[in-house]
Amino acid sequence: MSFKRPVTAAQIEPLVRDYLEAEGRAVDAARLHAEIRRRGPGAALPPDEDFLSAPGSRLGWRLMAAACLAFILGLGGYLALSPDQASAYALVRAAESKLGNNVDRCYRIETQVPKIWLRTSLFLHSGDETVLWTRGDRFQVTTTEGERRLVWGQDDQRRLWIVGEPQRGLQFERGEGPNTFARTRAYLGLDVRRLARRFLEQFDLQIENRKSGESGDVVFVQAKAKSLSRSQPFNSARVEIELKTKLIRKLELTRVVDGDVKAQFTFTLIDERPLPLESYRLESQLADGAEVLDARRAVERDEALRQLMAEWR
Amino acid sequence: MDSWITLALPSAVAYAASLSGDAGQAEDVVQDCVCRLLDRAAHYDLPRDGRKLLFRAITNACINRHTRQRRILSLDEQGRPPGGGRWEVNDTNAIMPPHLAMASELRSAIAAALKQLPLRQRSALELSSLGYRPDEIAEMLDVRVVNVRVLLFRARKAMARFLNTHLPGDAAP
Repeated sequence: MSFKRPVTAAQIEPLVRDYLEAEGRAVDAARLHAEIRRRGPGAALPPDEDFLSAPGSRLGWRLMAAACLAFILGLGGYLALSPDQASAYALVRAAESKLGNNVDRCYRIETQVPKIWLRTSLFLHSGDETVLWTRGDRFQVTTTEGERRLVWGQDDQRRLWIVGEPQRGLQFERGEGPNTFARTRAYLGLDVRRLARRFLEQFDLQIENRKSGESGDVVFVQAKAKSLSRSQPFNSARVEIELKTKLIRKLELTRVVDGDVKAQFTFTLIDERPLPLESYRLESQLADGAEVLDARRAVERDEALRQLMAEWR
Repeated sequence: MDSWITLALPSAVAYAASLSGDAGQAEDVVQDCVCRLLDRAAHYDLPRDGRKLLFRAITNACINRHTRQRRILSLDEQGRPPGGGRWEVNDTNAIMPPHLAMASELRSAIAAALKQLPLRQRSALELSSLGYRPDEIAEMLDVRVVNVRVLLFRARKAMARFLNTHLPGDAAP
């Protein structure tokens, strides 16, 4: 292997040829050949009919085929929408848009969940009655069971707060909320507008029924999750929308695993009067002189949360 | 009948090793490709075209592996040399004849220079070095002949630049 400096473009191929030949001399061709003969034709190889076709062209064809298929399916899917499906999407979209007006809505929540969930998720208890007030991403949930009362919610700065007794409130900054809350939020989907968006994006919608009521026509929309991922908090839903006002009157969220209903949450509209904005803040639930346990008193706050969970377990 | 295999194997393995950057993997690639060709021997005139078909199959297999490979960087790799090999401590007491040392340095430099080329440039240059004409390379890479010329031009230019910068010696520009 010899060369003259500086190396010119004309010298490159001879240098590379010398290099490949030198590397090739290190190959034990006889051993390799014997190995190939041992394996022989029909050796256990994954089938690859195209092993002589350039991968780039195959990839190109595959991409093009995928693009065509996506186009056909997309266009076909659009054209294949029945009037009922189209109006189901339009209705949910209108309801979602309506919720963007930051109006107050009050829903009664009924939950049917496995007992084991209640041990770890304080907020899934529906007690004798659970009422949710919601306004955009602010909400306030009140659960009563006999004499006991648990109030929790999220304020305009997305801080989570919990009040078990009026003398003490727990407050968590955005991002430091306890895990038990994250799970509850995922299952209960407390932001109804976000829920509606999720239906539009991840569910197949179909109008199931229409009924005339006192306050006008009500449309029932059935929503089925497009993919049945186990991580999906719920995969089936039924939404009742008032046709005239586009108000969501009732919402049933169901989690089905392997054909069994594992959990069900029902939201029923019970009030739509405006609520003072302060109601979504921790302070509105506390007595005068009450203490607030926040990040500055994190140890006490965590202990208080543990106590609350033990009481409601 | 198999003489073409025996003749083609050394350069085929060297070619596959250079494309894949892994000598161990290269033997597997070549074995798979030869077996596939033998499997379909009835469709081809292997004594005549076998070598060309083998290089074509190797090129495709290496490009496929390269494309499918999802490189996961581990923390251990942060300390590895840029070439991806292991850090090796040179034995400074070892005596090497000057010409042997120079040949070894040149080989390492060419290997490094080839490695920095994009896969298609590398493949075109190596196939050209092994004596394939541009139209044959075009057929193997499924590109137009004019593209092969562009690939070769760029590969030669990049190689010359790299070698002139990285080869030691007084003659370095």
